[in-house]
Amino acid sequence: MQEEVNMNTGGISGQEPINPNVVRFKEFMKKFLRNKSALIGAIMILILFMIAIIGPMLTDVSPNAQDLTNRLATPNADNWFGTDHLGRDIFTRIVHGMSITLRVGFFSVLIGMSVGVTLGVISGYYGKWVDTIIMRFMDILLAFPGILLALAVVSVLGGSLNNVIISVAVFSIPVFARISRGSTLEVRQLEYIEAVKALGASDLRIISLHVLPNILSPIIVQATLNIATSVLTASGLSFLGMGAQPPTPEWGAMLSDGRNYMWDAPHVATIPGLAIVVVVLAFNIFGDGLRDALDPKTKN
Amino acid sequence: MTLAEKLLQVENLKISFSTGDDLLEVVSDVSFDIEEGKTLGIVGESGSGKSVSARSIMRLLDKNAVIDPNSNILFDGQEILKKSEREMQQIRGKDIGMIFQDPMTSLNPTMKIGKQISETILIHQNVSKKEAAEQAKEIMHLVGIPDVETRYSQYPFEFSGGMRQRIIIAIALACKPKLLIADEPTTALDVTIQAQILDLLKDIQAKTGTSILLITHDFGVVANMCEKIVVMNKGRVVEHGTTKEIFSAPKDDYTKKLLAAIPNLHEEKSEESKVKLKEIYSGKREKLIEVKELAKHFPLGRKDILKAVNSVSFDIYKGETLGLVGESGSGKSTTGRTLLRLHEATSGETVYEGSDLNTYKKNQMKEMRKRVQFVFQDPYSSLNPRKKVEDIIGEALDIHKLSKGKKQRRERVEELLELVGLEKSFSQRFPHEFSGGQRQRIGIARALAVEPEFIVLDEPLSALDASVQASIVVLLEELQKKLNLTYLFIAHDLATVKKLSDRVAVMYKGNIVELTDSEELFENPVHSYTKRLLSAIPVPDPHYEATVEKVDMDAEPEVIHIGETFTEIKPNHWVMQ
Repeated sequence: MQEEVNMNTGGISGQEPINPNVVRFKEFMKKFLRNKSALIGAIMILILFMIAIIGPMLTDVSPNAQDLTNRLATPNADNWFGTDHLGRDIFTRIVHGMSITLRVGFFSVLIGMSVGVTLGVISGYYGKWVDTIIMRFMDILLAFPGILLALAVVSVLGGSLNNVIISVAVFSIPVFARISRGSTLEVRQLEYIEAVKALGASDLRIISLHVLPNILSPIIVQATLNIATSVLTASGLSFLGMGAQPPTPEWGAMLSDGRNYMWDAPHVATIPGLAIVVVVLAFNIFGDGLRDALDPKTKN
Repeated sequence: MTLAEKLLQVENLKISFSTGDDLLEVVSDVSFDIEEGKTLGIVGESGSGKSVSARSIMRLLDKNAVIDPNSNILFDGQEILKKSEREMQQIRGKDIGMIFQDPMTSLNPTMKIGKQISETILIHQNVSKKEAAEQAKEIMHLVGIPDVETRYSQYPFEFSGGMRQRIIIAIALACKPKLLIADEPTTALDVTIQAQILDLLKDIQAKTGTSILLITHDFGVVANMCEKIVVMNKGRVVEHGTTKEIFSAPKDDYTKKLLAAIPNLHEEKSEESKVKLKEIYSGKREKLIEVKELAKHFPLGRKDILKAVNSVSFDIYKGETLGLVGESGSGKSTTGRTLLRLHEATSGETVYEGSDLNTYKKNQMKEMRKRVQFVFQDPYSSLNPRKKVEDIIGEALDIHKLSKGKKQRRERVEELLELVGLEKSFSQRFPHEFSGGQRQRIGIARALAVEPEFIVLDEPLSALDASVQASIVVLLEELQKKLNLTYLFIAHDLATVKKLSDRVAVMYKGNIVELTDSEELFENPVHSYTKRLLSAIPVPDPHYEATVEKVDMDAEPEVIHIGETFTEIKPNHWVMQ
């Protein structure tokens, strides 16, 4: 017997331990860096963040400073993106609006994800009637088109940026609940979960230490992709006048203002529109790349 | 001997796998041959290169495999290694048939059984569809499928594991190949079904005269199937000869080790075990657990229920090992899990030192988990791959707050590792760095961390190689003595059960059908299922088998009468009658 032990142990005694978490991360980075579009997405997001943080410090005028003598100016050397119907500098407003857009995107997803994942994991872990109740409720939420649901929530709570965040969060709950429930069901039946249970671990311990770390990657991917959707929905709400109120430099609201001058000064509406497209695109391609890199099926 | 009589000659076979820049040699200088109408067994443990060698005969290796140019594989006078892929397609299935290990995954689930067989015939023979169907039915008959006409147009899911393996054999035989390669054909099957399949292979060989290359890790299987045996270890042939030679006078140390690792059914129980039994029977030993009419039913859909465990009663005495044997689906694992409340019992009691575990509240049960533990079957899936060994074992200490501070925790983990025969330094490593046997030791250390008095061992050996199994058995015995443990040892392998257990309970379809001490059970089995189970064990002794009369294995299991009442037919021998 001793012989078998020595035979089997001799091989690895000298080497450094191989941490599977590190190995997995290295593999992920390798796949991710090889994926060109994902890398572009990541770089774009990085630039967007830098604009949101540093940008406002570099602009010399206030985003709300009006110059009625210089209304609807086309892009020129002083006003790079032109001015709107109140003579406000569109470039300054876009730069200041960046942080609003990103904030709405992030916080709505963060809230939606926290609630959704909690519900999904509970649903998948406990099953039975708990599962039925939670998931049927999610089905009801999913039955509404996203923007309609968000509109309903905002009209109840009243129009403000914070309410937009809440309403967009509500409509992203079911997506996260479904994904985390499915992954939990898969992980729950693994033998090591049962082994920890046999040791006397509480459900909370099992969920937080053994289930959550295992279902994280599909959730992260979904979160990234959801930021894009949330940004779009939030702008939509502001466009409809239900979100950020004037004079906040919110892109959806700016687009809404600009549509009255579509024929005379198309740049007033197009530029905020383009800005939204860029943000959505960046998160979408980044999310797609992340999914490919995290999916074990797309090895090499 | 002339060349013509040898159907297959493998000479100096050398296979390497390219792993990026390196070449890893997995098979080196392997030579063997098979005569027409004979059976050759290749025996080896996992990683010995036996499957790779067999696949190279079919040229079914992965793309990164490199076969050395000096290797020769002569089949029926032709050099296999010089054939083009197109020529190989002609040989595969037609001249050489192959049977795979897992009957559950090697059939196409969306295609009717009959079609899967006739398909092969249509590919290789110039016959009409009708003729192919006729031939397919004939072969189904040959492999012992009852009611061929109906079975022909059924789908794989309507077949049991054993029946599927028969179909796979039928497909391999479809074109009457000269050589049949069987790669662990019975590893995924229960013992009684294994016996049926082995009988079938012998039968087919007698009828069709095909040669068989049988690959297995189990010496018991080759003993009565093969004329000659090749023993492989780490990619090399360590010994080859006739079956009788190898069994009676093995030359190589590795062969000796493998043969020694086979549990011997005729081995007498130790004095200690005899004393233990005497104490149990005379009432001197205390009962640790009394299981009373324990049942566990699972809902199947809305209406049906599966009675996985159907009212079982037994006692477990302090310090003993009670073996629980049965085939897959007999409810033995469910019994073990329900006992420790990993499943909630449907009804019945588990009385542990006077009180029923099933009535315990959550916090009482948590306290109880310090005294009762579980070792799992699969050493791969039962350890969290993302955690260090220190944290896997240490988790038990965290949950019950058994260690103060990091240092003490680490010391305790290291102590446990040494207790199960591993090195201290392993605490900083991750599960994937270990072999199956080492992982199982880690699983045992985890169970021991809380210093339990009772451990359910749920098939802890079935995923391990024979020589590793033997070492784990020794470890379990040592630990029992050292720590005064009580075991419930669940297994499908009767031979190991006999070695480790003081008393044995046989389970069949959710019932315990026979319960007595292991010696009595093996000498005087009473229940017809026990008899069937015993006669199905492949005995690793070529002389033995010929003299023993076997229970007819072709009888459908439905014929077995379970019985109504559990009665003591003689002192301490209980049978369902």
